[in-house]
Amino acid sequence: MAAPSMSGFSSLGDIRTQDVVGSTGAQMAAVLDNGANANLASSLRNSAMDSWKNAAIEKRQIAAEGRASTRQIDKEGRALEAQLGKEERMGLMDQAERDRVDALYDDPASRESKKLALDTAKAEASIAKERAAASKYSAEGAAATSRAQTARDSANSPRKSGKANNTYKDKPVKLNDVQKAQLKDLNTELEALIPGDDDKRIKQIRGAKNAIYMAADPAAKEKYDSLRRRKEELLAAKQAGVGTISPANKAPVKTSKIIKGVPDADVARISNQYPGQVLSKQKIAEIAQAEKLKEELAREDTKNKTLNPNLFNGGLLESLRVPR
Amino acid sequence: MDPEIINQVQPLFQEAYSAIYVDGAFDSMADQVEAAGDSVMPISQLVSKIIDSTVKDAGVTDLNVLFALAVLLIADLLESLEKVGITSEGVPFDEIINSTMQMVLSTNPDIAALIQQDPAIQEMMSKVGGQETPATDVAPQGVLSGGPIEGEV
Repeated sequence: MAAPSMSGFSSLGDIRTQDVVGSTGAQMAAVLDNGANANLASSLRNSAMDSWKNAAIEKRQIAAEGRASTRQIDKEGRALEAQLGKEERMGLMDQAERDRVDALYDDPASRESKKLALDTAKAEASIAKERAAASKYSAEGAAATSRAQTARDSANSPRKSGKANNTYKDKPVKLNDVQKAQLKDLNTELEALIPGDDDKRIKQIRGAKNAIYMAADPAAKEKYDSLRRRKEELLAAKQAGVGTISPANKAPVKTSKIIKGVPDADVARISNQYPGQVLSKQKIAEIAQAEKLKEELAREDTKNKTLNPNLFNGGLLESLRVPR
Repeated sequence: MDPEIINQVQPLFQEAYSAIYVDGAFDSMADQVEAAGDSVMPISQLVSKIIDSTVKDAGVTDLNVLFALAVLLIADLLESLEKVGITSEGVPFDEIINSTMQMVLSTNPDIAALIQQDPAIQEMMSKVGGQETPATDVAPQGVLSGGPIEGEV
């Protein structure tokens, strides 16, 4: 091949060697017209080359759009997260969502419901135990002891017993297809959540499950409401500092045989004189002492009147009068 | 452009097109342009590699053909970058050509020697105040732009 020379550049159309070598950058740019060369390059392309170029450009444009879309989604996601976080902090939860959280019904799977049933059973057991202790020597006391034991058993193992607190297990609730599907979705989500991290959502889901069970079984709701009312009564009574049992049904005050100087019979009698009140040993002893003093005074009074009925009407003075 | 040159450039142009657009060279180059925010070096490097390959693999040493191929590829790449929204009009076309030619000459001593041996080039070099192109594999500076030659007083 013959060695080409720079003078060969002059054959490139209107680009002359002298122009190229001797020009400044700006002059050369004017000679080497980018647009003209692009047109020339375009004319050299066949359809296959066009498709190669177009495919490469399209691929890059799609990738760029994808990146832009991803950035936009990320941006919107961050904004949404920030908004949700703000609403949560401000307590602006949706009312319906709040209601669902509050709607804790008697679902065996519900921790709240279990706790409520357990608390109620324990409270009932405690009351029954008190009654049994108060009348342990009576037939009623024996029955109360039995009830207390039953209540304790129920409280300790409410699920094993298959009774109490678990209405829907006694009689399986019939769910429709929609409710089954809803439960399935909730259970699936529940399984994926992590206790401790997702407690709030777990509570919401359990509330939603409870609502489904309650909608399918009104009796379960009634049972739950009853338990809840009972617990509220107990709590209110505790706060008020009085017993939760009406005076009519109040068990006899717990007594002890060991109150110094007071016979057991008197202790029981005094206690029964104050239904609805819990008397301390000291109070009972004081009352017994007061009664004793009163009785002694009464006896003394009676004795005096019996021995000398004229004591205050001149008889004593008369008897003391020394005959002159 | 001379039809004879065009006939020689066209198959080389098509071969280069395949490497650029089918084998992913364009994508890599566009990434570099985006990352660096500059089109001169990435385009110069890509085109100089293609010219190198054309010289060494295809045995083409015709400076007219090589120059025409380089210019056409640069113009085409700039058009593509503009289409994908990376560059806009007003790119330093002359800088890219100058940079590309320097890279080509630095890696192709044979081409540099051809230029050096050409009396017409020597004459042109003296016109711009330069010396004879050194017979090394170092690219003669300013051959195309008319700038000072490396080592010039």
